[in-house]
Amino acid sequence: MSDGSAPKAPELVTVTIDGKQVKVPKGTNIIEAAKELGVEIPHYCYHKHLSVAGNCRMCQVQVKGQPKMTIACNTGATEGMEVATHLSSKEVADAQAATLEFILINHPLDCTVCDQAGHCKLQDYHFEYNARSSRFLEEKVRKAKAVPLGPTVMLDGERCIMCSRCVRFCDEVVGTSELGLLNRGDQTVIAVSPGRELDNPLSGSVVDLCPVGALTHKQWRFNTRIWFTKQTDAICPGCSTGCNVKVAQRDGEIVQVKARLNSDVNKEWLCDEGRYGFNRFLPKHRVLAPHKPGRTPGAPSTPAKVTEITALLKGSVKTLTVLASPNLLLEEYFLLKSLLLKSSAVGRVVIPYRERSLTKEQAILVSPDYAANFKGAQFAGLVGESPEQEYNDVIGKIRRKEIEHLLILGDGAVAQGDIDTALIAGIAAAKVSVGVVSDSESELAAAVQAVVPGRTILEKSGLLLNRNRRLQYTSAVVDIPEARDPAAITYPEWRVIAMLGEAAGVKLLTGDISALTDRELTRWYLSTDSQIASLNLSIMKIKQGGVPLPVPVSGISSSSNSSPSGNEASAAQVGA
Amino acid sequence: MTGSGEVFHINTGKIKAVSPGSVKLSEQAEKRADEIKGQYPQARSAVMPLLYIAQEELGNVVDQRAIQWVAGKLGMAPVQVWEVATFYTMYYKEPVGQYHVQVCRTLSCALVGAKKISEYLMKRLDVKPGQVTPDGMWSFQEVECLGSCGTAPMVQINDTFFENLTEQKMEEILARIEREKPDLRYSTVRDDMAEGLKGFPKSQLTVPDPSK
Repeated sequence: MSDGSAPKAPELVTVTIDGKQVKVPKGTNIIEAAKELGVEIPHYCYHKHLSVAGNCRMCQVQVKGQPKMTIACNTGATEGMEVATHLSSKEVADAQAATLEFILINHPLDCTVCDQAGHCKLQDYHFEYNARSSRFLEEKVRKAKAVPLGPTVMLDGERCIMCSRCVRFCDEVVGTSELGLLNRGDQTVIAVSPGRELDNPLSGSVVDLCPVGALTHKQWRFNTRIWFTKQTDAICPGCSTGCNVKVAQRDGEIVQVKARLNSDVNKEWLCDEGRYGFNRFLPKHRVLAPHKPGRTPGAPSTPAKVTEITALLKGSVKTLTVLASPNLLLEEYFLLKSLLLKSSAVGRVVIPYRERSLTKEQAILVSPDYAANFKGAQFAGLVGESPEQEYNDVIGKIRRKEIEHLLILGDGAVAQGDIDTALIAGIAAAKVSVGVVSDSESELAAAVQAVVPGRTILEKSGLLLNRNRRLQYTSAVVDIPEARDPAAITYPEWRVIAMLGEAAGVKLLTGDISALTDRELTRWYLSTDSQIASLNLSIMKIKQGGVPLPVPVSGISSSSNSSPSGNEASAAQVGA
Repeated sequence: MTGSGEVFHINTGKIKAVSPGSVKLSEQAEKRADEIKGQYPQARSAVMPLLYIAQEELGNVVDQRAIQWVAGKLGMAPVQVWEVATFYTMYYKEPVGQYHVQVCRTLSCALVGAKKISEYLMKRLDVKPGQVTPDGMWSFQEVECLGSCGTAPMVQINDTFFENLTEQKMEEILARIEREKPDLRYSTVRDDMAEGLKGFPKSQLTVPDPSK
């Protein structure tokens, strides 16, 4: 990832586009230069982070002094260049309309049954730049349809406009070269290398890159029209890379995940594990009310008030052991840290953190951890020098029944492989144990004395810190259970922490906690955390691609839980 | 290939995968390939001559063995070699006859009667473009410009041009080939034209001088 690399000061040139001047680094292509002025030059084959193919011809512009129109994607800015786009030149507009008519000659125009309808560049551009009916009366070329390219992607050969983005992606980004363009002219088809499949860890990205409906996700084909969905800009919680995604939700279900362009984080790529793995954060069966599980197998649980449950812990906050999820929001880690500081706690917080080995292709995007916000916990000062050892210590102690006061905070607070009978017995043996979890079928929910229904990372909006200390804002992508089940009641983890504070006599938040929204909490956090307040950040600003946090000058307030481990000094730069 | 509108991809089941590095050609061919490779600053530039070598060595067909051999030789992804092979009509992805007649149908030839030559061949050989005669002797294909516009109309039989054609000349050529069975191939491996061809096509079939 290119979060690092200090850029040299480039030579700036002034380009005039449609009479407006803009200064850009020399050699910047005209599409990017026009973007600076808010002018969108239509294009199919061009992608900012792929090589220039120049085969769709949609981005033609006039450059003063050149006899013929030229393609903007392959024309570098030079000093004094004067460019006329479709906005100021009728010739360009006509040429683009003609190009589009050509592109559409062999396109089946099956929008009525096409998954891409509603977010298709052919539709958009036809509406914007052509909007006349085809004059083509001959028979269209027929090609293979519904061809599986691999485990994740399907190809409709007829819809393809041969932009070659998918081919270039596999060649240049992943380096696996599974795809190629076979045959020539109107017979050209996308095909997989014989004997292989499109099965690289980033394979789903080709669907995002496809400007038309030729490539579709196998598992999301025909599931919904895009205009029936609610789409949210979020951050993928799959690992600490923090890829920018757009998630489409319909009736509480995730129906499509798309990468969003963020040149500093994920370009416009997304790994399959993240893209197709969103549902793993949404348990099938939810905890829908605070309760005390029955203490023997088969015994019914008894409903409980959440204040009753927090009261269980009020006497033990000081010696509390907290197993916290690595997927909580930065605000939540900050609140937790504040609670510990303000109550002079001697207990500790541990967060599971495990690394795995990645293949070369996975490592292009994926982080070795499964922790969306472990860096956030480090930033908040909740993580010690050797987090893995500390976590294992605590798990060991629970198994030996040495922990008396335990709070399990959030989903994934105990790594999946660690849940065994000894651990469950240890939790059950604790004097006080409370779980804030969302999966009603998890063994943890049955082992603790009291359960508070939590919310998943997909149901909360707030801040995440990625592996390169880039602060990003994620929005809730699915509705909370209350939206579907009026009887349900769930609590974001931060609210539980605040209520725990209240029970223990520590005021963490001002005002009515139960009325506070995620957004208000984030605003409060941005102006309260002394590490961040001086940056004057707003949610709006963070949403525009995230903000790299400066490298800390000194350790964080607490002495034992000092600064985040220093290995990302090189990573945090730009906005510093 | 494209003539019959057929699409080549993994799902047609027509392609048999060959594992990389498993194909070895004759020592002479391997040596020639290395020589050709050395003539270019980038190895991948040699993809076309190497495909010819593979086609010659593997019995006039470019199949997955050829693709894997070229890809292995030049350090290219097999699909990139396959792209090149499917782009050009002179690499035979499907088996062709012992004598493969390619009729140029691009502009110059089309203007002076390529269509007639095609129709004549269809009648004479009783095959459609892309088909092989039952005895395996002939196959015929319409192709794009073969770069001999000055002597249109023309055909290429195996690797030899026959130019300034009429239906009658075409018949003469076919009859003679059937009689003499000459070798009309060019060998990329040996870098030479076959013996059986010397003096055959052009000396006897030159353009009549209009001034006489």
